[in-house]
Amino acid sequence: MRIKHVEIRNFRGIKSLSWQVKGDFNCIIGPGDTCKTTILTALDYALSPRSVLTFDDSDFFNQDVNQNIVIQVTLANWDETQEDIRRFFQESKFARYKCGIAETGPLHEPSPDGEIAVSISLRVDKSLEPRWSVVRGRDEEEEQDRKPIYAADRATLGLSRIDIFSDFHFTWGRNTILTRLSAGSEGNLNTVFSTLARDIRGCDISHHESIQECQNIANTIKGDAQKSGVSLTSLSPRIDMQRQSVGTSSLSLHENNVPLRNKGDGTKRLIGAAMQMKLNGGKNISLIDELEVGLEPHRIRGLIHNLKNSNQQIFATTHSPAVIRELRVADNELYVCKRNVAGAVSLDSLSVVPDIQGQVRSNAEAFLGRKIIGCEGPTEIGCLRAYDIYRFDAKDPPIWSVATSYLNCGGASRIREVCEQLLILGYHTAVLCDNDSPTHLSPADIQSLKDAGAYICQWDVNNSIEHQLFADFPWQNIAALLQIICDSHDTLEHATVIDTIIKEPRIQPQCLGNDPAHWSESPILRRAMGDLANSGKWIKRIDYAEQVFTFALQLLSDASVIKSRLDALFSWIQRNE
Amino acid sequence: MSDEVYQAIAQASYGFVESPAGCGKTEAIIRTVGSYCDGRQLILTHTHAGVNVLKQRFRQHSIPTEKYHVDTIASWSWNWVKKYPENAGYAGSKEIAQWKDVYTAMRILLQKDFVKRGVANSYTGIIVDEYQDCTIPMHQLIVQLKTFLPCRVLGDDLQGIFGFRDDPLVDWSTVTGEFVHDLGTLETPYRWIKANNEDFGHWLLSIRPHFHHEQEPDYDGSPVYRRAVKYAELGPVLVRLTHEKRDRICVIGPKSRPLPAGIETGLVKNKYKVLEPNELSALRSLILSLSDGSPTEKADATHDFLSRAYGGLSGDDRVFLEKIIRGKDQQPRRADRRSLCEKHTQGATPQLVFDLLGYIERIGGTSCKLSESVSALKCIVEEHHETSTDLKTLYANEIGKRKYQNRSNAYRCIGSTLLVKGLEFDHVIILRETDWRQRWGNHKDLYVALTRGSKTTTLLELTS
Repeated sequence: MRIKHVEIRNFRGIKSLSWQVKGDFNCIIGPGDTCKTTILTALDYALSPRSVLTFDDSDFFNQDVNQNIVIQVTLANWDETQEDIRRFFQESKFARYKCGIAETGPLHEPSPDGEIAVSISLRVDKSLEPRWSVVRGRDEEEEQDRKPIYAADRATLGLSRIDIFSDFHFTWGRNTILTRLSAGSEGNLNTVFSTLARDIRGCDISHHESIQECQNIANTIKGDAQKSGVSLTSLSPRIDMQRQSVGTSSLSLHENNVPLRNKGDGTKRLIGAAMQMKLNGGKNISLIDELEVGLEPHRIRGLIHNLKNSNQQIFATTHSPAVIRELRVADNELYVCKRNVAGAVSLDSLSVVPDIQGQVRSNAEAFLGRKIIGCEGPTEIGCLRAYDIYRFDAKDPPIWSVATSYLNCGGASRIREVCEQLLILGYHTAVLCDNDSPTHLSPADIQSLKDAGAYICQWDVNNSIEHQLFADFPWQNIAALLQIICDSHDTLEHATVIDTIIKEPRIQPQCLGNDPAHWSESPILRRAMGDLANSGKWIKRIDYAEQVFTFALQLLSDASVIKSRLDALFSWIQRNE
Repeated sequence: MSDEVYQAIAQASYGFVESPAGCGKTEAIIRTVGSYCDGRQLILTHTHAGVNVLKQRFRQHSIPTEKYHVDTIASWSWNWVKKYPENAGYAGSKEIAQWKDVYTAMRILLQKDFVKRGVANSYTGIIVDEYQDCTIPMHQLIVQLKTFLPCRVLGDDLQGIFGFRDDPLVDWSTVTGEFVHDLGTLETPYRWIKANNEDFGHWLLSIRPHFHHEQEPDYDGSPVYRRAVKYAELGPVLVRLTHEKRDRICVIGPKSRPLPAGIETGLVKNKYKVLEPNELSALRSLILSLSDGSPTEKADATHDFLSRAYGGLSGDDRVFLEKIIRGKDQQPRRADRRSLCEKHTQGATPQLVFDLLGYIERIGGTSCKLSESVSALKCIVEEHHETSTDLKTLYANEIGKRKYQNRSNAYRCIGSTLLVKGLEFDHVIILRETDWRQRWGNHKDLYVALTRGSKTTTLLELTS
């Protein structure tokens, strides 16, 4: 079966969530405290075959127990030739509870030629007693037509959570993966344990010193009992195995003498995933919170590869760029989770942002933060990195610590659509861009981004970042700046740069010498150097720009356009949204 | 011999079995399912009484419930249709089934893949009991089932009777044409062998050809006791016969109307119980009028219900009742009547009907003829009063609650052929006029009536 739709109401941090699931591999990303893990927990609670589940008031949104917790999961796409699925959909079970499904969630009845679904709802009211049922259509009220579904039937849905909480799954306890894999043999297993328990009770332990002390006490009790008129033939301390829980959950997988639960998190996760893949012939659903935990990048890759080839549907969360890089945005494998102050949570596929796949590979980190600065190109990113370090040296917190990252939008013409979609996905978005190319990014584009909530950091009219740099930079240090530009650049020769400047048509009449230290300041010269830096791509690489701005920021005055604008952008970054 | 038939039923992917009354049809189903079928069979019949009998017998034979599910065609269909009215194209009420649409709706549902799979997941085959009672829409539904599951039907066209307001039943030649394979005939008269009355059983089998030709058999030398009775003597004769017979007894009257009220009241005083159809049709009409009718319709319905339900009302009481249910002014002297008049000035309301039931029962000298309907009505009005749930929903719930209560075990019953069909008694008294074909029923009704008694059958011909 495949989960197609999830609706959650009043569960922990989630006031409401309605999520249309599109694919088989669903990885949820987003800043902290947006309830990513709560979503996985909700799926686990609603579908996994556990019979005992304890709720308390803090599981209710805002602790308001008068609003029932409802977790409704709608599934479709099952294989009705499979024996357990056929049993699940008998008249005596849920044949008459198949329903329809639309983008917005389950429907009471299948629509003509529409997909057939089944919807499981977990409801908890203030009695804190969880009740699972199959409902047709959205679970809106208690009185709705519903049929209880018990743990054994939920097992058919094939959902397991295989993350750090899964040590239990290495045992043959109730409803564990191992138990489900060895279906049919539970009876015999129990016999093994009860025989064992009897053997232990029969063991002679009387020769142990401390047991002998117990025996002495037993003897006195026997004597006292006699005085009270109770005659006992013999009284001795023995192990009462029935009172201990020696059961099949004591049976667990060991490597030699070491139980698997003592293995590292990563190894356990991989073994757990492998076991889960065997369940129901692999056609099942796995939940993995923080997929990357304990795994080196190559193991992450291997795990994702195996999961994708396993026929399963996967729900995972991650905080790791190594995971994100492995996923395909166009297949809706990445969902961004956002939550507003009222607790409304939403999940949107990253595929709404056009041509984002490249960014996801090259700049995966950007999507893990809360704020994104959409940069026009590498120069802006380099500039920001330098500024970040500059502020850090001045004892400000670094950008990454405030969950902010940079994203290369790939040129002025793409800024608007990329940033608009980032805003839709819930990222607080700022734009750092040039102001020299209205055909690519018009004032109307800028206005529309502002209206959508973006923060705009733009240079003066007609200025690219290079123009602004040469316009703002203290003249007495221009020579040093040119030197740094050339030193940072892989191929740019200092002599060539000087030569290009003095031969620039607007500058040539000034007949400048070869030593920039002797050049006299003029707006036209600043402008020409800006033009040349821009067109000659002097600082159009992240590392070029970073090195140049690391130098330049020391010397730019605080009142300069560059510094004052960056300062304002930094305030936006540090603002608590 | 019988085992061959059972085996044939189990193995056939479709076919029919001709099963005369009392010849072990239930046994055949139990044995077929218990011994020869794999997986779970869906066994469909027409009445809840039939469902009860089958379930009991399955339990007696300790056949595991995984092997069978017994249901009426009606409730099995309704359980699907009420879940998927849109897919079924069913536009009727979701509280009270509109039966004439339900079967067609179910047939449409059975064409949907998701329904078909649900049914196919649940059963390995279908056995339909009393197939002669299938209406044409029911038959079409079963034919739809036959497209994807083995479908075997048992029935006897001589017992295919239906009421004047009912839909026509499927023609037996249509049945044999559709199900093609004749899987055998059941012809051991178990019912009479068990009652040490084997000759009667064989006689009944021997007269079947007469009935096939729509002729009445010759009773000379037959085990049927036949006599003419004058209408005026009927009451005492019935009472005498009742006391003579002792065991379970049933008086079978005309098909489409009750026995004359005086006779019926007399029998009820002698501990007879009037059989009522499952949906308690008298109550149903009352509920529908009280819910949706005009004031006049409400009053008419209340009047009809009370006069049908109670015998022995005095003329004085009738006048009082008539006035109060029509909301007419009256100044009764009796205190009980006066307090009712003060409380109810609106004409027929549920609460008035409820209070009148209490009134009638208190005045004495009356007998309740429709005990089933009356007790259901009390439950419905009480709950209506407490919860304000609408009457029609409460009626549907009440019918649902009662449908598996076994009412046919009353020791002395009055019923029509429609109501006693499928039931079994020790003694049967058939009450009919000489011009019975016009006023009583047809030859199939007669066959049904003659086959109900395992020990004796008495045919009383009424003369005026």
